[in-house]
Amino acid sequence: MLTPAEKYRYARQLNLAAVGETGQEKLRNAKVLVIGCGGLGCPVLTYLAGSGTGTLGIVDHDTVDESNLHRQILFGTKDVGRKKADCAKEKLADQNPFICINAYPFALTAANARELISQYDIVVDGTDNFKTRYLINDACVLENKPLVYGAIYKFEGQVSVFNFNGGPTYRCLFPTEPDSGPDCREAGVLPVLPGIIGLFMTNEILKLILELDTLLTGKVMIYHALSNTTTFMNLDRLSSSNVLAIQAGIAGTGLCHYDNSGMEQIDELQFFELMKTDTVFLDVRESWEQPPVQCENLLQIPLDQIESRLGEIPAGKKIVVFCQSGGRSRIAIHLLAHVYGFNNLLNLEKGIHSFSSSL
Amino acid sequence: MPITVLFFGRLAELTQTHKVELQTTASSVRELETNILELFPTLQNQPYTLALNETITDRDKPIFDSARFAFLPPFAGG
Repeated sequence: MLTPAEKYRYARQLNLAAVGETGQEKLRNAKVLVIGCGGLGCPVLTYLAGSGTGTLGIVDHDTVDESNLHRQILFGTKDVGRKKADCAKEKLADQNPFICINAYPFALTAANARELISQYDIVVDGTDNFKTRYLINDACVLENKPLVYGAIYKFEGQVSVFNFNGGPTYRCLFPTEPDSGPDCREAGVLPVLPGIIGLFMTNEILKLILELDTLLTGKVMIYHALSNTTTFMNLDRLSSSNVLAIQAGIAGTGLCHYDNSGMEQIDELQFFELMKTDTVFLDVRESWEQPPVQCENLLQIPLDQIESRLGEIPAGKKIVVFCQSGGRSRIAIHLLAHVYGFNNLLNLEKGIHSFSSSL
Repeated sequence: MPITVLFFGRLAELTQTHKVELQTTASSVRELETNILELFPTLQNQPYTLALNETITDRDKPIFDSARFAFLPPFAGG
């Protein structure tokens, strides 16, 4: 039930059949985490607060600089030098005292990303660097959260809704992290472009919360401010997108979650011992790879097909995962354990190659 | 056969055009990409994703008459 004060405040949007009291309650119950409180984050937060989105989280480690003020509309001259997350919280609390605002005035890192993201329903990427963008994507995949994405370069912007209902992710559009790209300081930007792109993002967030058609999922929108053109590119889920995220984590450039501590490793002797039990053996090599392994309960699913053939893997059974040298099997175990919740997985640490002569 | 190629973001600056019409004999995305990189060597080593007829594509897809090809760079800014 909305209070009379809420009914009055939100009267103009309550009149829309697509919102109404039910929609307004959905907004009040929604928790949105906005990462990056800059050119994109400021308009997103302003309009989410206005709409009565019940819980807003703001992650930004940065302080307000005078050169931010032309486009970062939540801040004033007196805020220069203060933490952006704290300033934004103050401003938004004044704009709408009916909502709850959590300021996180620190950086999103591989260590805190999952914990923060797990507490919200929708995640918004308004950051200004690739490292954080990939981190956000990978954490959203693990926590199964929709990710509303926006990014800009000079007069152009990209918008999409990733990881929604099994739809494509950021890594399906750009599989691996590029070295670096120019941010707004280097490239230059007119204040309206992050405003426009930020509001396209907010429109998607509100549609997500209100369950309205048609979301920008399975496609990326590219807007050009000078020509006023919008281009849509369709996008499918890339079968290797999660594998790439795990590889980045193992290489130390992604989520720290993917280290190998805690993974149960077995050697050749244990491998043969387990063959005498009803353990399942999952061979993640390609079908042409030698030597073949013969045993009961053998499943042959190459690493990049695991997600599409998940149904063939019995949950609740002890599963030995193996490949040629122990690398791909490790990725497969991370994928099954962390993305799909399997347990009781064992890795043949040094792979088949270490004892292939005895097979 | 005639095709259209679009460049976005920084790639449009490097090629100094948003859109070119080309004649090509390329039969696959991979082959067409190689030809375009020869034509616009400034695109070498740039990060991008390729789209064919408004769909993100892998490099094995065939190219047909009047194909619309696009180079999409990732944007960092926010």
